[in-house]
This record gives sequence, structure tokens and C-alpha cells, in this order.
Amino acid sequence: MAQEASSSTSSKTISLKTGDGEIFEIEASAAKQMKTVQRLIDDLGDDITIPLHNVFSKELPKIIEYYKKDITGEITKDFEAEFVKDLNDDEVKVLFLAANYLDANKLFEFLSQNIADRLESKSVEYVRKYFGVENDFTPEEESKLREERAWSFRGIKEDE
Amino acid sequence: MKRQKKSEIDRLSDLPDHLLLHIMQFMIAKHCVQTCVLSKRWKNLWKCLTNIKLFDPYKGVIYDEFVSQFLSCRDNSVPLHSISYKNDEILPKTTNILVEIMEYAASHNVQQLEIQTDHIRNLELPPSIFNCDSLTSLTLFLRGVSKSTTKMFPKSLNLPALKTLTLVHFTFFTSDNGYAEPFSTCNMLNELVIFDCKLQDDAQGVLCISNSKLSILAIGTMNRRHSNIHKVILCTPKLKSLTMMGIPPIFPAPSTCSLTNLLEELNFDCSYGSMGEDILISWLHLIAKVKIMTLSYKFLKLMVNILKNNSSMRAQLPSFVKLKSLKVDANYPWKCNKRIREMVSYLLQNSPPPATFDIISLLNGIYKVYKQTTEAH
Repeated sequence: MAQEASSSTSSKTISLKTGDGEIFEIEASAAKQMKTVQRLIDDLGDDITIPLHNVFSKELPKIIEYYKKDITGEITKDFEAEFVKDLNDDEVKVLFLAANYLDANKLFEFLSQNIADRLESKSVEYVRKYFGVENDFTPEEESKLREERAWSFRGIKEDE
Repeated sequence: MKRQKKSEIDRLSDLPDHLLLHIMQFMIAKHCVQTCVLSKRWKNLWKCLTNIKLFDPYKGVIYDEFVSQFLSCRDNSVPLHSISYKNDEILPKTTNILVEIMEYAASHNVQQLEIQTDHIRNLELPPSIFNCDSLTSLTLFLRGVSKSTTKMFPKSLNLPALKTLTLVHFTFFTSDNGYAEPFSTCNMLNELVIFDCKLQDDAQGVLCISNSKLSILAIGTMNRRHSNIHKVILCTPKLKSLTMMGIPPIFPAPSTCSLTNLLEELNFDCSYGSMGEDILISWLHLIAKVKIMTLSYKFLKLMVNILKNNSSMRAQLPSFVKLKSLKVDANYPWKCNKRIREMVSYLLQNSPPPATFDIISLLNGIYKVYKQTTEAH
């Protein structure tokens, strides 16, 4: 790596290739925030295009947008609210899984909170679908459980 | 094309338990328990939560029964990180819920505890919560049914790991010399917020804060009747930021037993009120020592009015040469932009202009606790 010379890491960009073959550029300092990417850079070098098999061109730009804001030190509550405003629940889910895969901690924390907020007012059935959970209770088992835990179901609205 | 590797995760439920719990911990406790019916895997997952939110934003009261059941069903082998209890509603007379939460927290090595309620009656704080090796952050916001009664803050504390402390509506014991020094044993204390607190003994009214690691301090009160602190002495060599909240300061700028050259930032998150001239002068001298300052619009206006009406004070107006950054916080900045600039010019008439000057609008003020207490009134 003899050619470091005067180039600082902040002006260097890294190429990322999504699972569906598109290429995006990010600053090296943003890449540092995504531990998976950083590990790949450490293994493969920073001149090569880093392949991200499990992240696609739909969500990567959004993630890059978040970390672009982050490296200028400017993530505010307003920015975060704007960031998720036009996303539907499924889009947030996809971003969340991508943030998990990329080991992008700040975004992961923020999206965990956002998903929890979105699910607060939803029915059990909706939450099941959202998590992709198969209900393996029999109806009797489920109603028995609800009775046992009646102290937490008091006042809940039925499936909406 | 999608399922190339078995380890690929494309459903949330493919995630391991600890990540599902991670999402869950941002939900209120009631909903966490309700996830038990999602599937067999989820039946007891909620019991492993480490961060617990005992409040109901839908204005439901968190009943004793829920809390008792929740705490007793919880898996005790899982370490407890944080408990947060907030309640705006009136609790039943015979409730024991707050003591139960505090005792559970203390006996389960909790790290962060937050209790916020406006309606306590006859609450005896369990000593265990003030003798807890694991506690790093404690917020006790305990206003009573009768707003003038406060809780006594214990004479002796054993919170060796405590880094952040927020107290609202407490009374501190004073020793024979009339001084109160409530936090001296908290060697790790880094951030301290005291709001609407009093001293047991009126006469001297001196509050001493001596903590070698204290970096952030915020003090204030809503109402002169709520606080009888006449003087604050700081032995806080690492203090960087000082914020005054509520009504304008009722005591002069703190005297320091060691010259705190480190103090960089002063914030006045104050509303209308009056301020003694001597007191204002002492604060102006402190302002002359800092680099960064944020003033609320109302406090700026108050200072300028006092100065305008008092020519001998104007003569003593310091030059704020050290001030590099000044912000004025106004609810409606666009309405009073011009006036703000005029007032700032007046205040800085003996000073060079600061490197940066901004007019901002912080909806929640600098410390949320202040905003919450003002809303309740």
C-alpha cells in the first residue's frame, strides 16, 4: 500500500455492489460505520468493488443517505423522522434486515425503535405477518394462554 | 436467485432471539407480554427482556397487578439493564407499585432506573435504591399530590457506579453549618440535574456540589416557593457545562473552590421572572468566562431590560471576549428575529462579535425534565 501519500481516508470512496448487480459509491468514513463492509475492505482491500450479496439496489441508497448525514455529525430527531416518513412498514423491515447484515449499528438502533413504534398499535395477526411467524398454537392453546396472561391483555383492542 | 445461502435472512423471524428482543425492548411492557401469543417460540421470549418500559402512552394506568405479575414472571437469570416507569395518571391510594419497582430494580442489579410520576402519596423510598452497586443512571421525578411536599433525599448514599443523576422535587439534608452536600460519595458522577429541590434548613441555604468527575450540571426551579437555595458552591474541577432552568437564577453564579477554567458552556433555559441586580452581575461575570452560550429569548429580554434601567450596571457590563458561539432560543424565531438581534447587540456592546451567532428553536428546551414540569402546571 505504498501509494497512501497525501490522500486522507475521508476523501476516499469505496465501491459497493448490490445483490442485483448495481454499483454505489460511499465515502470510506461512512464505510467504517458498517462493520461488515469494513471487514470486507480489510480482507479484500479498498480498491476492489465490495460485493454485498444480501443488500439490494432498492435499500442501499437509503442506507448511504443515512450515513452521509452521520459523517457530517448531523443526525437529528427531525432528520430521522423525515427519513422514515414515507416508508411503509415493509420497507422499514427490509432496511432493518440490511442494517443488521451490514452491522450498521446506529441505523440498526434507530430502525429497531421505529419498528417497535409502528407495531405498538397493531393487532396480533398483523404482527405475526410482519415478523413472518407461523402460529403453531391450537386455538385452545392460544385462548388458554391469553387467559393465563389476562393481566396483560386487559384493555387491548381486538384484531383491527 | 434469492436463497443462495441457507444463512440468508429475509424474514424478521429468521433473526436470532436476541435481535427480536432488541426490537421488543423499544415497546412498552404490556405489548411485550402480548407477543407471547404469536407462536410457541415467542411464548416466553418476553421474559428475557433486559430493558423494560412500564408505561402506557395510550393513557391507560399501569396497574399494580400488571407490574407484580410482570416482575415475578420475568426470567431472573437474565440480567436487568434498565427499568423506566412513567405515569401521568393518578394512582390508587393503596398502591405499592413504586416501592415494588424500586426494590426489584435494586435487587436485580439494574443499571438504569427512571421513575416519573406526578401523583405520589405517602411514598417511603426504599433504602435499597440508594445502596446499589450496579446503578449507573438514576432519574427520580416524584411529585406529590400536594405539590409543595417533597421527598427527603437520603443523608448517606452508596451509589459508587452512578454517572447520571436527575432529581426533581427533593429536599436535601443540611449539616450543622447549614450546608447541604448530598452527592459527595458519588465519585463517578458525570451529569447532574436538579430541579425544584430544596434544602432542609432555610437559614444558610447553601448547596455544595463536590464531584471530581462532574462534567455537566443543570439546576433550576419553577417557582420561588419550591426552592430555598441561596448559594451554590462548586468543587467540580472537570465541569464543562452549566445550565440554569426554570425561573431566572435565584442565587448568584456559583462560587468555585478551585478555579474552574474548564467551564466552556453556559445555558440559560429560563422563562420570565425577576432577578436581583447583584445576582445578574455575578452571572454576567461568569458569562465572560465561557466560550459557548445559549440564551432563551425571555432571559435575553430580561437581562437587557435590567441593564437598560440601571446605568451603574451598564457601566459594569463585562466584555465577553471569550464568547465564540452564541445561540438564542425562541419559540417563534421568525417573529422576533430583528428584536433578538437588537438585544444581542445591546448585550454585547462592550464585546467583539462572537464567531457564530444563531437563532434557534428548541421545542423541548435543553432538558426535557424542565419542559415536562412546565406542562404539568
